[in-house]
Formats: sequence, C-alpha cells, structure tokens
Amino acid sequence: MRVIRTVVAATTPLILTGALTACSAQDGGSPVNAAGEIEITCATCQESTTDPFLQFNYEAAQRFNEAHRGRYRVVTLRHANAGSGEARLPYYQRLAMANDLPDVFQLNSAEIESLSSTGRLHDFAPELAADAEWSASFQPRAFDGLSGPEGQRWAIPQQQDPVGIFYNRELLAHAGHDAFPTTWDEFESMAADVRATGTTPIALDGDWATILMWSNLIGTHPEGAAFLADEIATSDDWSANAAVVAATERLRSWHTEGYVNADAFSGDFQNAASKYLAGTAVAIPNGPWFVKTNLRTSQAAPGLYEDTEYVPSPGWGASEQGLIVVSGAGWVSGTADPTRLEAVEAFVRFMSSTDEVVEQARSTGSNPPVTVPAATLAAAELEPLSSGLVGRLPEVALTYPHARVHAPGGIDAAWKNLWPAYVNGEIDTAAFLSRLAADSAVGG
Amino acid sequence: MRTTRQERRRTLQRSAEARVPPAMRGPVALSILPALVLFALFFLVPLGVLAVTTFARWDGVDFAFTGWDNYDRLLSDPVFWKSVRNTLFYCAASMLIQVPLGVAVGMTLALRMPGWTVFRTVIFIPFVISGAAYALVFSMFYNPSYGLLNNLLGPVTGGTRDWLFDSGTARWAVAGTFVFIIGFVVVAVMAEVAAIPAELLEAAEADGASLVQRQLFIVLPLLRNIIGTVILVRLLVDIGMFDLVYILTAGGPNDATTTLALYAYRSYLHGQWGYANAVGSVILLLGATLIVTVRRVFRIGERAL
Amino acid sequence: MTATPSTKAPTDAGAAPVHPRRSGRRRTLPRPRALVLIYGFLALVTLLSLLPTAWVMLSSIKTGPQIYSGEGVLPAPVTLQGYLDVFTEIRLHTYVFNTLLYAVGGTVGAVSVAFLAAYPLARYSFFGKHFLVAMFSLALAVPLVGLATPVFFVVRELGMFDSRIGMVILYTALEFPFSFIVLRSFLLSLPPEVEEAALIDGAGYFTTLRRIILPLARPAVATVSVVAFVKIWNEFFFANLLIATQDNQNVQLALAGFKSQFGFNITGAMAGATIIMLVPIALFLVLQRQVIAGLTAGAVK
Repeated sequence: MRVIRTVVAATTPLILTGALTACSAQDGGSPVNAAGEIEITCATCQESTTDPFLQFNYEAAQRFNEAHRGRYRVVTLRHANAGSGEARLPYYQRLAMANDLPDVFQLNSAEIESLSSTGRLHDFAPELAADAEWSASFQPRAFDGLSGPEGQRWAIPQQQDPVGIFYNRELLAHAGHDAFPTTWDEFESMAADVRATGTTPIALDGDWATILMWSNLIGTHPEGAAFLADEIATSDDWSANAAVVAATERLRSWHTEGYVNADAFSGDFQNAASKYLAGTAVAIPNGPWFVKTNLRTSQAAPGLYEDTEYVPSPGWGASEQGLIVVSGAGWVSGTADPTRLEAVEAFVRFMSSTDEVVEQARSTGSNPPVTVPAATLAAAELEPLSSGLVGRLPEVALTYPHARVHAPGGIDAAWKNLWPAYVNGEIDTAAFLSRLAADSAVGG
Repeated sequence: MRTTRQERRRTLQRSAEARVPPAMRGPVALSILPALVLFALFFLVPLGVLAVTTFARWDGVDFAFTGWDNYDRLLSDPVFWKSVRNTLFYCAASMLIQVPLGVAVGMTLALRMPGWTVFRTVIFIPFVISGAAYALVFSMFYNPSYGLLNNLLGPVTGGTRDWLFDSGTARWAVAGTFVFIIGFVVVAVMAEVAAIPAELLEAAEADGASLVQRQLFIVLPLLRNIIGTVILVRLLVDIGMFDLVYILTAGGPNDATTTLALYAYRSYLHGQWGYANAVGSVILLLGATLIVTVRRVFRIGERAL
Repeated sequence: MTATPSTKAPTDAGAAPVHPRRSGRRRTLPRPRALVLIYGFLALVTLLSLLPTAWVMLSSIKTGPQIYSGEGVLPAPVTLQGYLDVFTEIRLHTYVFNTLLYAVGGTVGAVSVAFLAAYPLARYSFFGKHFLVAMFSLALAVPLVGLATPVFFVVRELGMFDSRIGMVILYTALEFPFSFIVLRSFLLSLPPEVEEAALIDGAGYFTTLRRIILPLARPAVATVSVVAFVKIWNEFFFANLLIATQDNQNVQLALAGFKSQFGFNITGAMAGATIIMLVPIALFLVLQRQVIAGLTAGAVK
C-alpha cells in the first residue's frame, strides 16, 4: 500500500503541472510583440513553389508588414493542407475543435459553411457596414457563398472568376470540328467524333472538375440557375428538381458512353489534368488559374498553351451558353480577440485594395473580387488566356454559382463517395440525388 | 554499517522475487512512476472518457447526457453496418489469405534450402513499409489509365478496370494491398518451427513419412499456438484499419470500403464526439471479442500451464 | 518457449535428451523436382508482395509524362528531377527531421520508461504487481483507434496539441507497453545474482540499473529500440489526428499530402515515397537480426 501511496503522491504534482501548462498555453499570450506591433497569424501566407496563390499571399503579407511596420505584423504559419485538397476542411474542423484556428486564412464557401457552424469564425458584417465605400467596392455577387442566413459576412472575397472550359483546338480540329460546341447536343456529337479518334473528349476527376460540369449542366438549364443559387441550400431532396435530374443523367451518360478518362473517379484533379496536359484529352473544366498552375508548367506538352482556348459552357438550347461566376473563396478570421481583429481588418482591407488584387491577377491568373477601373486592368497586361473570359462575360446568356458555393459543406466528400456507384448503376438517379443532399448536410 | 550490509544480504537471499527492501521503496516507486503516469494519461483516462461520453452528446465543449441515443442511432444507420461488414471482411481476408500464405511460406523457408535467407529478407521487406506509403503506391498501381496492374492485365482481359472505385472490386482491391504482406507471419512461424525438437522429425522420417506428410501432420499441428498469435496481432491491425482506406478511397464508392475506424473518425470531424465514441466502443468490444475467441480456438495461454 | 504437454506426447519414444537438438540444423532437403516447385512458389509470393512497390521505386526516375502515359516498364529517359523536386518543392527534409525527432525521442522515451518499469516488475514482488503487469500487457491488445477522440481530448487538455514535444510524449506512451513486455521477459531470464553483489556493495538502485542491468540487457534493448523506431517512423493515425502545422508534420503525413497537393508532381511523389520507404527498409537490412528477434519475442511474449 505504501508503494501505491508514494506513487499517487508523486504522480499528482506531475499531472497538476501538466494541467497548469495546458491552461497557460491556451491563453495564447499577448498579441503585441516586442516591437509594439500587433501580431496576427496567417495560415495561408506561406512561401510555396507549387501553389501560386500561397506564394502571392506570402509576398502580399510581406508588403503588408512593410507598409504597417510598427503597427501590425502578419506572422506566417506553415499549415498543412493550407493550399487546397480534400484534407483541408477536416483539418480546419480539427483546429476549430482544438480552439486553435489561425487569426486569418482562406477558405472556400463550402468550408466556410461548415466552419461557421462551429461559432469560431469572425463575422465581418459590422466592419463592412461601417464603411460604405469599402463594401461598395466589391463585385455584385462577390459575397455569395460567403454569407450567413442572418446577413453575416463570414469572409472577405478573395477573387471572382468566370469559370469555363479549356479545350485543345488542334485535337478538336483533328476530329473534324473547328469550334467548341455551344449546345450540349453538339457537345455530345463532338464527343462521339473525338472518341472515334482515340482521344478523350473531356477529362474529369470525380470531384472538383466533375462537380464543375454538373454545375454547368444545371446552370444552363432553364430552371437550373435558381437551384444553384438557392434551392441547393434549403431543399433536402434534390431529386425533386427536373433540371437537376436531367443534368445528372446527362453527365452520367458521358461516363457510360466513354466520353471521359478511365480514371474519372479518383478524386485527384491531376489525374484529369494529366490527360489534357499530355494532349490526350480535348477539354477540361477549371478556373483561370489552371493556366498558371498547369498549362505553363513543364508537365504540359510543348505547344499546348498555344493550342488552348478558354470558353463558356455549352447550353441546353442555342445561345444559352453559361459561366460559373462565383467559385466562392475568401479570407476568414478565427480570432475573437479585439486587438487582433483590428490587425485582421487592416490586413483584409489591404488584400482587397486595387494594387493587391491586380497583383494577384497577374501572379495567379485569378480575377479581382472588387471593381477595378478598365484602364488599370489594361495597363496591368494580364495573362490573356486567364483574363479572357472576363471580357466575354457580357455576351454570355447565363451566369450561376458553382454548386459548392451554396450547397451544404459535405458535398465534396458525399459526391466522391456516391458518384462512382451511381455511374456504375448501383443506385438510380432519385436515390443518388436524395442521398447526395442528405449526406452533404450531414458532412457539413 | 556492517549490520546493514548483513541485513541486505539476508533480504536478497530470501528469494529471486524478493519483497522490496524498505530502503528501495522510494527508488522502485520512482522507477515505475513514468510508466504508470503515461499509462494513466493515455490509456486509462481516455477509456474513462470513452465510457462516459458514449452516452452523451458532446463536441469537446458542450456536453449533455442522452442515454442510449448514440447506440440507437448506430444500430439504425446502414453505413455503420456496412463499416462493420467491411471491417470483418478485412479481418477475414487476413485470416484466410495472409496468414495461411505466411504459414506456408514460413514452413517452406524453415526447410532451409539454399537461398532461404534471401527469400526471408525479401519477403519481410514489405512489412516495414508504412500504410500511408502503401496507399500511395497502390493508388498509382491500380490507376486505370496508367497503373501497372491494368497494363499487365489489359492484354489478358481486353480492357481496364477502375479497381478501387468499382463497388464490385473495391474491397478486394483494398484487401489486395495488405494480404501479401506476410513477413511477420513468416518469421514468427520460422522461429516456432526452429524450436521443434529435431528428433521428432527424424523419427517420423525413419518411419517413412514423406516431407509433405511430416509438414502437415507433425509440424503444422505444433504451430497452432503461433498461428493463433499472429492472427491476434493481425486482427488488432484490421479492426483499426484506417490509413490505407482513408488515403486510397476515403471509404467509397458508396461506402463499399469504409471501416469502423473511418466511420468513427468522420463523426469526430463533424463534432459528434459522443457518437464517435460509441463507434469507438464498438471497435474496442469487437477487438476484445475477437481476441477472446481466437485465444480459445487456438488455446493460447495454455502453453504455460 | 516450451511445448505444451499435448504436443510433447509423440516425442517420448525415448528419454528426453538433456540438450534437445533443434530442427533445422540438419534436415534432409526436398527432392530436386519439389525444390523447383518450392522456388516457383516463393518467387510468386515475392512478386505479389513486392511488385507494386518496386514499380513505384522504378518509376521515381521516370518523367511525369512517361508515368502518365503508362508506356514502358523501364525509365526512358532516366531523370532525377523527382528527387530534386522532393527537396526543393515539397521540402521533404523538414518532415524527415521532424520524424527523426519523433522516432528518436519516442524510442528513447519508450525504452527508458519500459526498462525502468520492467526491472522492478521482474525482480520484486509487491502488492499490485501482477495487476500492473497485466494492465501494461493489456495496453498492447487495445485497438487504439477506438480511443481516438478521447486521446485527442486528453492531448488538447494537456496543451500538447500540434506540439513536437507532445508527439514525443505520446509516442513514448504508445510504444512503451511493447518494449515493457519484451524487456521484462528478458530480465526474468537473468539470474538475480548478477546485481546482488552490486546492491550489497551499497550501490544505489539507479546506479545498479545503469551500470549492471542495462549492459546485460543490451541485446533486448537494441531489439525493442529498432522496433519502436520503425513503428514511430511509419505512424500515420495519431500524427494525422494531432498535428496541425506543416512544420510539425511527419513523413507519413507528407506522403498522404502528395496526392492532394496543388500541382501534384507525380515523379516527385514517387521519389518522396521511395525515400520514405527506404529508411525503414535500410534499417531492417542492417539490423535484420534485431528486428526479427524483437518481433518474434513480442509475438511469443
């Protein structure tokens, strides 16, 4: 017994010390550093040789520190999964649960939807309301997908890009077509011709790119845009919407007809991209940043950039082409400390300034979330392919948000899980759509 | 001083397992303390937390007792039952493919024909490779457009298959990543065979028993204990199967490959910690049940009698 | 390691020899035709277990386009670009450094804790001893993933979330039970006389442990150390659960991240995977005897 008593006596202080250090660690210390600057942490401002967005954020953060020397300072956290990828949401959820969210970082709208429910994201609505000029500077739909049901503004928009389809002019000509189709029927007859030449009509990945095409099919449907903008968030059974059913079945038929790559379920965008980059797929949907991250890298076949065009999505009828205009991503804050929030506000204002958004467009290919004078944009000499669709926006009949913008946060994971089973015929369209809706809501 | 020394000698001589001499009590307690603290912090406390919170709604902050609600929900969720079935499928794959194959190879190598050490080394290598590495390797190996498997089988089957994302093959594809990692079974079996008295086999040989007969009727029955042990070790891994599935398929398609561990992890991510712990308790119970069963069947622990 | 009574039955054709010869020392080999079959079987098994890994290792010196084209088994042309990229783009060295810290720290911690506990629990008898031994052994039989959420909770409450030292402590806790069991059974086989002299000479408890017992236990310590090192090097589940910052990630997390990284570089991923796999393989090839001894000792208990 004495041994046990000794053990207990000796253990108690040890555990207590542990508990004490734990408590002190959670306070997070003072936000003001030795130089008298308010320090905030940024989880998506790290140097990166592979991700132009991170690299731009890093450089912008250095410019911010330079401009606010003595007052504010952004400290870079090298967070895993900071860039993109399916692990990012779970990762930030874990941080939210550990009460350890960074002071400022970027999220997409589905992730914002999920994380806002933890109650640990800052609402920027008061700051925006207090400065009419600043809030008026943003593009008309810039806050779509970044807002809450009671007018909360969970994020400051990072970009606003028209998202279309890249295609390879040479390969298309080889199959006997000299222009990218403008209706889905033409698209399918083009696909049949292309397949006959032994190349893949369209490269998909079972995740991001596939959902982009789904959004295009829904958004260009006469009754579809309302679904993407609203119903997708409120309806608990998507199989009730005729446009969605038609779009889903059409997308499935491309798989069964062999219009897509063999590995179209992997969930790795690069599996799809590699087909386009090797010149074995005619088309791939993605945002303008694709030019910088893929087309202009050593992975791309020689001459591919010159052969590539960037166009709006075909439509269900003639002159019903469409573009995804909101892919929804923004800067969020995970701090509740008023001192830090002061610095956070200064930082997000800095990032939405004309100089920085133009610089972002130049270095990433992503287009500004705020309205920039045409002369300034022209002077910036942006990458022509990346910025090309912005100019075509006025002539496009339909614009709509990406499905992910208003859908519940679990849509990516639910899609990746259910889509292969649906295409392989294990579940029918109604079951697929109602489960997709249900699982997206659970995962969020 | 001399008396103390004599006293010590007497205490020490009493038995190999002496009682702790009074002067040693402090050091002995201090010596066990770190293990005890770590054990308490990372095994006992979590077990306690688990036991309490399976009956609660809990997200790490807010806590409310809900009785058997978590278990009710568990039993009525088809995905839970799928993950139970898949977990048991992986267990079965190990028991019916990995272990028999490993035993056969181990018994063969124990014959010590020329080159046996090389084979033992090479066959053991996959065992030291991590699950995460294996997942990356196989995500490429199975890829239907550039993976080696389809390139090899293509000419035979006349087409490619998306092994991991076709519900018909997905579970088998996942099992295929680990059933051929037999290194551990092989070395354990070889060690056990080496402990069999040579006289036994020589006597059988003198009686005219062939090599195959000796292996099947003399060696194999003597391996019952070690086979049970390697099954135990392997089942513990399979019940907690996570890395491979998480990286390869994330549980899809249509939950065809998901496991209990992955199912629990999802609930944890969604802030349903009480529910995640209910699944955790199923994992622990399943582990305990399988262990007890295997120990019974293979009569492990009876050897020391 | 004695056989059970039932299995002993067929042996007693004569008196049990004092030093029973072990099988395997002298054994009639199968006939040549059977040998061909055996080698064929072994070659097939080797192929099944190593082919995918070997293919990835070989592909790590191919170009990205060649890998994606699926053409050609041999690299043409050979490139080391992946091995350059993995250090410049993916910064593999930072993860290697972290993992070495976790593996070395966790191994030293686990083996020390296990050794300190194994000695008194092998030598002395006191109240609760058998209970403790049973508990520490039971820790090995728990599928730890079932405790994921509570462990996360405990780690968070202790302020050890996303901390390097926290990971070393956690790995110490996870790995010590295995080392404990192996070390204790080894110490049980040591005659108690060895340290009696030292204790009688008035050497303190810890001095005796360090000067007398530790050197004697060196083979067992080496064995459990290698096993613990490889296990921590390969650990994914708790690293994934408890590490947030890229600066603290281990190599397995980096590996899993290759797939989802922006601008996925397949050659780099294959090169990185090769390096990460080669570390435990190299360790095993050099310390084969210790690894195998350690694992079988653990299995047989």
